[in-house]
Amino acid sequence: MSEFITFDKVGKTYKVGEVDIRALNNANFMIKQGEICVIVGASGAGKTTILNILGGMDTMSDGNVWLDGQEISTYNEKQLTAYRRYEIGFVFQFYNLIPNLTALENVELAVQICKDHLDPLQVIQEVGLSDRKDNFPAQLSGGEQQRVAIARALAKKPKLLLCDEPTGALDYHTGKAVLKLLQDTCRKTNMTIVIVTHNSALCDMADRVIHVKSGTIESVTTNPNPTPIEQIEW
Amino acid sequence: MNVLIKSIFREIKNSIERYLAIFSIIALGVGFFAGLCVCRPALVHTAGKYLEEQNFYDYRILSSIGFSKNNTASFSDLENISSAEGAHYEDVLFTIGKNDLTFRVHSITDNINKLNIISGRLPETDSECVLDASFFDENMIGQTISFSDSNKEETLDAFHVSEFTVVGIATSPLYISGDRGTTSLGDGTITAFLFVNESCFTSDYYKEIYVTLKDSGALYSDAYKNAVAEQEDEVTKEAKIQANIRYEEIVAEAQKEIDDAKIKLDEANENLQAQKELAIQDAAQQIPNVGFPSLEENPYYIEMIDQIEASFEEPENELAEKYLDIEEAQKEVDSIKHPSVYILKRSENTGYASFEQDSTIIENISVVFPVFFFLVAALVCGTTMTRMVDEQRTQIGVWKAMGYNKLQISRKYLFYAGSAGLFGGIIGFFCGTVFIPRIFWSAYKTIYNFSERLLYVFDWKMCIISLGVAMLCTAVISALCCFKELRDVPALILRPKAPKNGKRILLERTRIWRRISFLHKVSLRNVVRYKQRFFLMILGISGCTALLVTGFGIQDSIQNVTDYQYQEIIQYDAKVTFTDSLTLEEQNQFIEQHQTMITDSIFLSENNIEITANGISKSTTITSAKEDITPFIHLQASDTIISYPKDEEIIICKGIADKLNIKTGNVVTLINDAFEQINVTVTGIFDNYINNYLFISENTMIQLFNDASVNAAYLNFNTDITTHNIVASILNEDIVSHIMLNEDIKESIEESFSSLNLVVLLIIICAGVLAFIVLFNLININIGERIREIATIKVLGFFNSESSAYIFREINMLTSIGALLGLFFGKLLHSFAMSKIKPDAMCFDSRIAWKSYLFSFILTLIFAGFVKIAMRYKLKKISMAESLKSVE
Repeated sequence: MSEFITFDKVGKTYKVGEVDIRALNNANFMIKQGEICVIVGASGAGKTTILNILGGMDTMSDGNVWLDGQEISTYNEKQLTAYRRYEIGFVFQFYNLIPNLTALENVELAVQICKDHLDPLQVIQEVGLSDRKDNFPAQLSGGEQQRVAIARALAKKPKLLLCDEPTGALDYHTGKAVLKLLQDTCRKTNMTIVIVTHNSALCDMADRVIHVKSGTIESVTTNPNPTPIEQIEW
Repeated sequence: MNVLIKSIFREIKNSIERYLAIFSIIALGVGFFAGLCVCRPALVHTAGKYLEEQNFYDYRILSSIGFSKNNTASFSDLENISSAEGAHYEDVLFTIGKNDLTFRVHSITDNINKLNIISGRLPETDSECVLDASFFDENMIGQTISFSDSNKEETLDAFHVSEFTVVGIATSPLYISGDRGTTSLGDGTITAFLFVNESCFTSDYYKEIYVTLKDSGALYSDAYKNAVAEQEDEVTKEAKIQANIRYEEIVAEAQKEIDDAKIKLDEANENLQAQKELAIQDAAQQIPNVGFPSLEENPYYIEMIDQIEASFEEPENELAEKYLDIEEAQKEVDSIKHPSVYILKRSENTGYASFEQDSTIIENISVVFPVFFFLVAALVCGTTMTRMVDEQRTQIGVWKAMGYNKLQISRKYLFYAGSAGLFGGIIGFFCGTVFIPRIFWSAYKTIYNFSERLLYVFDWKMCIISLGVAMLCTAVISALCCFKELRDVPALILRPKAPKNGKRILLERTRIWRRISFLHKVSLRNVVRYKQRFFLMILGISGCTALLVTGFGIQDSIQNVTDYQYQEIIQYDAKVTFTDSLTLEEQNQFIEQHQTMITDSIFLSENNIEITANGISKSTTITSAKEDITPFIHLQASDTIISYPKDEEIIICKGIADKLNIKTGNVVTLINDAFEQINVTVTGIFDNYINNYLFISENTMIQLFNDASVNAAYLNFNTDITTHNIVASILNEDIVSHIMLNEDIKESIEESFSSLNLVVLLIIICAGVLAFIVLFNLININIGERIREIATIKVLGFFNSESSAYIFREINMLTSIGALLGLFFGKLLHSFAMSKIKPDAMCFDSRIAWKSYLFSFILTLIFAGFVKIAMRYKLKKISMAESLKSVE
């Protein structure tokens, strides 16, 4: 299998006032198509920076990044927006649903701007929320909201699904259910999923684990036999 | 420094936009309020100072026979009277260029109604004069102006001189407005005033006496009116006494003349009789008495006597005639009417009265606008502070948990809003009170000439009220916002406030909902989500549009006036006034001579009258025409044609009808210059916007003036010949005194209207600022509140334009709704404002062109567009990382 994502000597420097902060330094790794990749590290280690760069939400200071044969490190702002729009699905820690739209409408909001997408109703059904589709976010539980968020990301038929602490705000069981949904989706649709977390227990479910520490990649390990979610405990 | 205070300053620094929003809306509201409220005091104060400096009269006393020169002093002996001075005046035609213009020539008084020399100096010799500064500039100084040949003999006799060298230009407190009054000479209007030394006048008595009070009180105040009323009886009594003295003098003088003449005549008679006696005696001696019983029977003697008698018959008859003359004169003297006396007060001075009226116009307007601005200010502050308190919920919880009490915590917010309100209030107060009166003055200055600059008036009460309202709109409102939040226990406050639920709106039950795209759905739901903001937005935007509609509408109503007046109503090109009444022959001759130039004409009889109805009176010109006048002036009320009045009927123009509250069918009183009056019925009120017109039938004119001879004409010119040439040719005629081109009038009126553009500009700027503050503040709040949402949709791949559209769509909706409502409010506001602006001799056609509605609407959208451009930048700057942050 070819490299789907390649990070080549990627670095990122933030300027905070007069001070330069090196958030990421010489990051090299690659991820294959259809893999679940977990990027794990303590807070401030640089994992969010990787996620931002990968998601086209931020530019890098140096190095190159390829996704599916295209070099996104050369993209300008407009291209990055199009990239986020057509290639990336995003799942946030706090769901970030639009409070004024129902579950179904939140999904529809995302597909509105996509050329090729799934039927929102069907996706809602797939995440198991067909009976809650007309509820507003405030009327849904955390897990339900996160499932709407996943549905919103999946409906766009992204090449890459990025999840930022998808279980961070959820309780144990709900978190597991959400992860299960992600893992099943990956296996079923051969979608590449990158999960950023500080919970190293999630490493077992991944095909590939990237450990980040103090702005550098500490290790990249592959996991030939990922554990099904049901068997992971934390 | 206290931590709390430190935190406040940091807060202001970090949210400077929000702070400035409160600051500026308060500044705008207070500025408008204080500025408009101080207009009248500033106008009155400036006028008051001028009139005081020039020692303007308190009473002007006239009598039908004038006052003798020696007796003005007796007025100053009255209680509370400061001084009295007699004066002369005479209306004289001067030849300026080719026109004969009427000037009112006044004698200079030493202490009362002092002239304010603008340039040059006061006259020193009798051949020098000072000219009206409102109509002449300093280029006139050094020039000589002379009496026209068409002046009447008695006018020429009234002066020792017949030409004056201009040595200065000046303003007079007698004429603070541009109105110079009417006269029986020329075309009936006085062009300007002229002041000369008293010794220029030949008259041995005064026409008028000016009297000033010792203590009177401030201009236009009730105290002044009372003081004047209190002294009026006393002054009237004295005036009657003085008039009687003059009367007795006249009678005595006349009687003496008659008596003298009689004595002379008696002497002459005696002489004659003596001569006759002598001649008879001579005859008796000459003729010898022979053959007759007596001399008387002597035929020679009889013949002689007859001869003598015959020779004395002629002088005797002459004498008898003279006796008859004396008898006649005696009758005349006996019939000299006892004088009538008129006590005129300042309020009868046109300038003084119209200034009072005009200055109240602003006062009337000044109530509505500020109320509106303050309402917006309160809402802006309310939404801003609610948002601020919401944002800092956790912080408030922490303060509370640490044991600060409600007052201590809310102090921060009170101070935040209160200081913005206070500073805004102070800045607004001073800017408003300084600039707004000046803007109005620059418009008024075209009418009132007494001061270049308006004096600044500082009103403590007004300052306190303004700042009080500013504090009410800020501190009190934020206290309310704060206390609502602070009621909860710390634990509850520390937890994030549940976001306001999405709600289904009514529209969703309809079929239309399905057709709306999701982006529009969000906006539609957001529109009704926050009631307070919805209201603020609608109020602010509709206010902006309403102001614009009013501003443009005022322009429309005014601009249209001249067009409408001179295209739709007035059809004649010029009005010519003749030096004397024209016979039929002269009329025909005049027309014949200008056959090629004048295409059409109508001869008229014009006179000055006073029209009285409903207790209000107005002096103006009245016209009667022999022929059909409609080709020259369209007499219409809307679309109904008004027919020319029959005998004892009158039709009047809308302007006078409005001013005197006259309705069709009313009976009005017309008073001629000899104070004789007749009553006529109003049979029509016709549309007319500039100048005042009254039309009566020829018979009614004769009834009123014993005369309806032609003294004026409306003319239409041949358009092939240049107007200039026609005017020159007509003015060359000796019988023509004056010609008035409607084109010129139109131009000069349009010129004076241009100052109103400044006021309109002020309104437009205010509307813009209002729209800007409201929109900026609301969008700012909106963005602040939805940062997370915006960051999320950016992550979802919305382009910048799409994400701004996502936020601005609801702003656009509200702007449109607000602007549409504003068109309606604007119409109301406009008709309100127009009802308050009513200059003399002019009446506006209160209408708004559809273009103005369109402009106002578009301009509102443009204002909103500017704010959105500014805000787009802010939106662009929102980092997508915001979406990753935890919920506070």
